[in-house]
Amino acid sequence: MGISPSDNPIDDTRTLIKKIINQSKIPLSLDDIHKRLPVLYQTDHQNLNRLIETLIRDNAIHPWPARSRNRKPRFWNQDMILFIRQEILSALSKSRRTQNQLTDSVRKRLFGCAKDASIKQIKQILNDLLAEKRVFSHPPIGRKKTRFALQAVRVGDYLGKLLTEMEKTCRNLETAHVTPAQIVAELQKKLGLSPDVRPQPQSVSQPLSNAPQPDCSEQLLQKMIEIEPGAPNQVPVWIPDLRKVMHLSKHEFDQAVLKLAGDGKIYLDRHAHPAQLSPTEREEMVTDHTDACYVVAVMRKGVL
Amino acid sequence: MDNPFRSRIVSTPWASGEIEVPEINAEAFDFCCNVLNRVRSEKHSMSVLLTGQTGSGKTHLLNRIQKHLKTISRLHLFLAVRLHTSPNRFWRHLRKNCVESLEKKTRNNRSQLDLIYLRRLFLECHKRTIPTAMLPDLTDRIRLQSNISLAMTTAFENLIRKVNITDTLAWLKGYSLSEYRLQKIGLPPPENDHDVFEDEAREFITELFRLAGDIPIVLCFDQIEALQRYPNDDAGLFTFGQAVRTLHNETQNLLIISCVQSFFLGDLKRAVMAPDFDGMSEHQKHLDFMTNDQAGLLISARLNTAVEDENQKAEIMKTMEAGLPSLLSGNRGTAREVLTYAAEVFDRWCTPLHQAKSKTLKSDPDERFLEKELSLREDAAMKRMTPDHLDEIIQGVIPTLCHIRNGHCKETDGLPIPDIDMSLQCGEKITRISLCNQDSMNSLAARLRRLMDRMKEGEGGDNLILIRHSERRIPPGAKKVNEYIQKIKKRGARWLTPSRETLSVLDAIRSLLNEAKSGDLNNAGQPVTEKTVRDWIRKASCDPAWDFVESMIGDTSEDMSGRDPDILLQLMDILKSERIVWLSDAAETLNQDTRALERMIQPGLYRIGYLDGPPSLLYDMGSL
Repeated sequence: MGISPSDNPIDDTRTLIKKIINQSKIPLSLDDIHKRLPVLYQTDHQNLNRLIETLIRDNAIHPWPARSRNRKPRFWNQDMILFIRQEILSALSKSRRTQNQLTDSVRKRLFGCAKDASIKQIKQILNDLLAEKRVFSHPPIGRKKTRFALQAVRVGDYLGKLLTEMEKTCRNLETAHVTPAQIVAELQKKLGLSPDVRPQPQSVSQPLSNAPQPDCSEQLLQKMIEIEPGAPNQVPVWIPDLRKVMHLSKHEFDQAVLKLAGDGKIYLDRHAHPAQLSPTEREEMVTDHTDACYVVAVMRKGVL
Repeated sequence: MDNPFRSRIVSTPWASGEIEVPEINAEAFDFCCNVLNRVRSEKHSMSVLLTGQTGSGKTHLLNRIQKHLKTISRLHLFLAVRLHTSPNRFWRHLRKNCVESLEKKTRNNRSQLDLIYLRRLFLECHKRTIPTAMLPDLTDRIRLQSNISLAMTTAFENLIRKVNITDTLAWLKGYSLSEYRLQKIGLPPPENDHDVFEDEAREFITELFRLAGDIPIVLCFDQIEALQRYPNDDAGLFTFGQAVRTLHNETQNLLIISCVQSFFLGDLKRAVMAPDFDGMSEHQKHLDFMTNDQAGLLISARLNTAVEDENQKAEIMKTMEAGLPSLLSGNRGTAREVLTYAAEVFDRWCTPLHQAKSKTLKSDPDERFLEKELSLREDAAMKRMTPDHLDEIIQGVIPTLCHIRNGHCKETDGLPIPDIDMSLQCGEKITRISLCNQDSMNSLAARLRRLMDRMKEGEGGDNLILIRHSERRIPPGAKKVNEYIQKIKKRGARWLTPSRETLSVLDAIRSLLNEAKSGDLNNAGQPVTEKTVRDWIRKASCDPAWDFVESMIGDTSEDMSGRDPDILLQLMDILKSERIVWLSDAAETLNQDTRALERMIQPGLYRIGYLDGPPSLLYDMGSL
């Protein structure tokens, strides 16, 4: 029994192509693939192209654009759009970036794809991420440019000048026995805000919002007991159940729960694997600026 | 110097050598003990639902309860069940695990099983030494009082007399025994009807608890999350809910403790009926985050085992305590997080001082970690694997693997079909699987005959798969069985005999997935998610496992001969003379389809080595 090739060389070649692409750390052109095929299985480019098309149709591999100055298309086992999404999120997880910083950083990781097409693609995907609220835009401060981040904007960063003026005004009016609270009340009137709305104290884990929130602490605690009569005895309350009965917007509810935690009235358990949650499931949980996802609220002892 | 903070996970309530810090979760511990006291005094079963974040110490608490029960004068039984099972064999899994727990030694080096029966005997006659002649009468009385079957009392008598212990334990666990072994131990065979297997297991368990009399039994359910075969699968949780309510209502001496991760509470509530959830959560307790003091005590207790020099200990403690307030602020601070932090600080402390080498554990990438873990677990499974494990492995992992392979593939959970243990639906196609792993030829013949009759009536042979452990050979003398197998194969059914190697890989995969689901899979302190494991399994080359899955849900339009030992023997003969041969050439010589032959080959089982191609190559492993 001598050495002989397989019965079905076309299928074998197709399998080999898929293997070569899967094992590669970068997208490969037809020439690259051809060079890596064993001699016995090398075939002309037309055949190779046909086989690759079948693989693309079966979603086993994905097309990638050519390198700049080179019109040869490439192929890889990773979808380019998903790849760029991951790269954007990964870049922003390290720090906030301007658009240019972000596109440069991501473009460097696209294996030499043509510049204009890459930038256009990156911007498009960035807009999608902004729409999905996976990424947030931070307006410019002073002469700085707009930046992007994985967390919502921090209001405190924009209040520099306002705070300075406020302090100056407070010092000026101190001699006239006008308290800061009176100044704030007057400010609220001028801005047309309700006098009952008081600015909430900041806690470390709270994402910030642009408008002051009503204090729902007592209502939240009462609802916890309604849902779970054992709540005062540290029986956990499932956060989506609590959200349903509070009838607040996501942001208001999250803020209120985080405030209660910050005030030491409840503690929150985190989801062990938040990346596994679907977007709908994530929406139901409470999230903070660190992207932690809280699933259960437990009343501390002695709160009620 | 070994890092004393590296072991962070208590994998089972039976683990020994765990360092105790009574102040941690003290309230939950006292709470469970108080409920147990009430079970004893009020003589009715109760339940506790324990929740907590990953790493908060749920299994550790069960471990503590188990040790505590050994030290108190009153007799208690402790059973622990990890729910690594499918909803369709829940009660059989429970039976096996309960008996395994009862096998564990307790006071006076006696097993819990022995203590149950000895105590009942003592209560009947109040004598320390019981003459053999009295046994039948005492046994009768026990049976009458507690409605215990003759088989149960016979089994226990075997155990206390230390006669045929291995086979008796196998019977108690629900394993299949040959007619000869059953006769030896004087016990009846199980019912032949598949429908009854789960009922039989349920009755066995309630009977066992009745036999325990008024001895309080702590029954712990851990890793409930593993009941989900795939995301949003509710069938297992639903069955669990029903089972707990049954146990609660039909017994008077049980404390049922169910442990669930906080993030899973919503899934559990959704899947389980409201009365069943109330039944399992009569009392609820949530495990708190640690305080600074508790964290300090934990660190100190661990340090004492590794560092003798008091000055060094003080220095390390000071460094570690400095970081605790920040670690324990803002909704953080489980025991596992504290230990992870302490492990890193310990490593850093060891390195700059050029102390005796610390075994610094750098985390591998998750893929490398999973490869190593799979290999270790596979080796462990190989050592303990017996043919009896086939059923639970197949039912426990195949639906999950099929779903990973093909997201449209799921186990159907409709009304049970007689003699069909699992039905897998992939798109339009339904594959029925019957586990023909009985040791008893009579039972096997009866099942095969029923399957054949059903095929006659048009209940399709094309998508029927019969599975038996390769080491459970059918003797040539079992004529009826051999005849039925040939007839069933002729009608299109497939006969698969996975090897010990294949089952070991499947068991290892099952173990990895279940631990990831329950939050207990850690790569140097970082949790490895279920999704990571599933994605890795999808891409990894666990060839025996994937070959097996493919043989079940793959294309059946080709002639799939199943694993024919004759063909494999002929192949071995070819390899003895040729040593190395192309798979295609071997298939041509044996007059077999190349792909069918490829599927038949189990690397290592028949000493046939296999190199993946294309083109694929076979070689004689004996020549290495």
